[in-house]
Amino acid sequence: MATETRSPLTRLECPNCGSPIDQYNATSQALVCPACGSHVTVGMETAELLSPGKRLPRPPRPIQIGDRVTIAQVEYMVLGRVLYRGVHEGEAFTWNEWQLGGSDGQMLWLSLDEKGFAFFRKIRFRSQFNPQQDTRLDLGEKKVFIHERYFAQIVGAEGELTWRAKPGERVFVAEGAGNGLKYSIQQTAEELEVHEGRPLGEVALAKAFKNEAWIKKIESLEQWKSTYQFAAIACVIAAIIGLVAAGFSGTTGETLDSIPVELSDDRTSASVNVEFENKRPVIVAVQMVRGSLPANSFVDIDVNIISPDGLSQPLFVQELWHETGYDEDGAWTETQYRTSEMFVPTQAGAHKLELAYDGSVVDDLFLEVTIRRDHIMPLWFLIYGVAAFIFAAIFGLMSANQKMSNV
Amino acid sequence: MAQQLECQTCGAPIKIENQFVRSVSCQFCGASYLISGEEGLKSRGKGVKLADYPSRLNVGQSGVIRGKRFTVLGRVRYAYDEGFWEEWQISWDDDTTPPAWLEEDEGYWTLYKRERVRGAIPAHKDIKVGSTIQVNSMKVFITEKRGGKMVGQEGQFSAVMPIEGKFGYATGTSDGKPVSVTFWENEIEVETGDDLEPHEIKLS
Repeated sequence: MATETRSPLTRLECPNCGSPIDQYNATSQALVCPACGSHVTVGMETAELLSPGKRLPRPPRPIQIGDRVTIAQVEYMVLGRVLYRGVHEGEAFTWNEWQLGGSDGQMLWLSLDEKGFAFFRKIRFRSQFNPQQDTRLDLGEKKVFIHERYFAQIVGAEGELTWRAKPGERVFVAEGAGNGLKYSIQQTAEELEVHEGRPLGEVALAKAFKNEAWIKKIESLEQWKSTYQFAAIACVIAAIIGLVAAGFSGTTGETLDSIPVELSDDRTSASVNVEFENKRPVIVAVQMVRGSLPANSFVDIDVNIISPDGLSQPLFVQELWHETGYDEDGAWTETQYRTSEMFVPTQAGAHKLELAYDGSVVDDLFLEVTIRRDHIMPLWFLIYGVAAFIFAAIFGLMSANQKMSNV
Repeated sequence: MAQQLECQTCGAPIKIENQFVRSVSCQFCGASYLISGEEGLKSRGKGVKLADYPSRLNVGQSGVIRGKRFTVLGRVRYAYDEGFWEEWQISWDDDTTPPAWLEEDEGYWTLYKRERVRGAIPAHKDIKVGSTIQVNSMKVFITEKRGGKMVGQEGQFSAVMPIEGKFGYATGTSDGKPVSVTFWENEIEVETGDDLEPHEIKLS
C-alpha cells in the first residue's frame, strides 16, 4: 500500500482531549482529533475547538488518511474524509468524500456513493443557475442535466480539511450529468459551488492506490460475479429449452382415428379396442359430439382400461357439464363437453377401453374417443424449466450481492 | 528601484521593493506604515502580525506565473465565520506592471487585478447568493456572500491596507471569470480574476 511515513508541518494539542494532532497540509483549515474526533480550527493564533465530534466508522473502502494515489501522473495524498448523510424522497443514504492534496497543490475530492467512485474538482459557473428549480446547468460547451436534488448534512470527518467542516452542517445538493461527467452543485445561504466529477472504476482506483489486497479482493469479487452471471445465463437458457421442449412434447404422439361411441339409458357402457405397441404415455380424450346437456346438469363419464392380461383398472371419471347463471353482465352459459386424461400402459398389446354412463340426464350421449399414443409427457420438461428458472434467479441474486466490503 | 528605510519602532531595516508600494508592515515588530514621499515612512500604528502558519508562498519568494516572473511583496489573511483565506501581493519583475493579488482558497488559486468602479453597485446587504448583479460592464452571477475581517498582514502593498476592520464581500463569475467585490466601510473594491492551475505557479 502506498502509505509513507510523513513528517507533519506542525503539531497541535486537541483543545478537547489534549491528544496530539498533526497537520500535514499547508492549506488545511480544520483538523480532526484522531483520538476523540473533535474538529479543531487552525490558521489563527490558537487552535480552537470547532465542534466536539465522534470518531467516524471505518471507511467502506481501504482508503486511509496519509495514503498516496497517483492520478494523471500527479501524486495526491489523502488528507481527510467527510461522511455525509442525504435524504431523498424520504429515503436516507450516506456517502463518503476523501479530500486529496496533490503534489502540485491541486485539491481533489474522491467521492464514493452507491454509483461508485468519482473524482471531483471545483469549477466555476458560466451562467445563472438556481439549484432548487433549474433542470439544466449551462457550462459553456458542456450542458448538464439535473436529475436529483436533496438535502444533506455532514455526519463527521477525519484527518484534515481545507474548510471548516462541522458535523450537522446542512447543504442543499443538486446532482447532474452530462458528457459522461457528473456534477454536484452545493448550496448554502452563503455559498453556491459546482464540482465536476469524473467517474472511475474501482479496479483502476485500487491500482492507482497500489493497494494489492484491495485489487485482489475486487478481482476475486469480479470473478465470482462473472461465474454467477454465467451460471444464471446458462440456467435461463436451460429453462427456455425446458419450456420449449414442454411445448413441443405437448404435440408429440400418434393420433389414431376418432372412434364414435353412443351411450344411452338403454346402453350405459361401451368398449373400444386399441393397440398400444409399447409402454409409452397415452392420452385418451372423450368429447361429446352431438346435442347438448340440459342447463345446469352434468354427466359422469367413467373410463376403464383393460390390459391384454384381462386386468381392468379405472382410468378416470370425468364430468361433462352445462351451467348457466346471471351476473352483473347478464346471463351466462358455460359448458365442458370434452375431457381427457393421460396414462402409461403397464403392458404393450391389445387393450380395451370401457366407457360407462348412468343414463340419468340425457337419453342418448354421442361421444367420440380419440387416442394419442407414444406421447412424450411435458410435465417433466415443465418441472425442469421452472427449476432452471429458480436457479437462474438464485445465481442472479448471488451475482448482484457480490459487493465490496472493507478489505 | 529599491528604497532603504528604517522602522521607527524597532529600527529594523525596511526595504521598499517596488515603486507601486503604498503601505508596509515591519516584518519584525508588525508596525504599519504608509509610504509618504519625502517623509519616507508615516506610522499607522501596530498592525496584527500573522500567526505562524505553514504556507506554500512566503514574502520575498520569487517565481513565474505563465512565463512572467514575480516576487511576493506581502501577505494578508482574512477570516470569515467558516474559515480564512490568504492573498499575496505580488509584483512583476518588469517593474512597470502594477502589482497583482494572488488568492488561495481551499487549494484553488486566482490571480486578481483591481478595477475602477465605474457605476453603481448594489449594497452588500441587498446581494443574494444565486442572483446576478451588474458590476461595471459585467453581469456577475453571485456564488458567495459573506462578511470577513482582516486578521493579519506582513510585507508591502500597493494599496493602503487597512490594519484591522470588518468588511462584506461578494464573489461570483462573469463569463466564467471570477469577480470579487469588497465592501469596506469607506470604500468599494472591484477585482477581476483569472483562475490558475497550481502547476501554473512555478516557485524559484
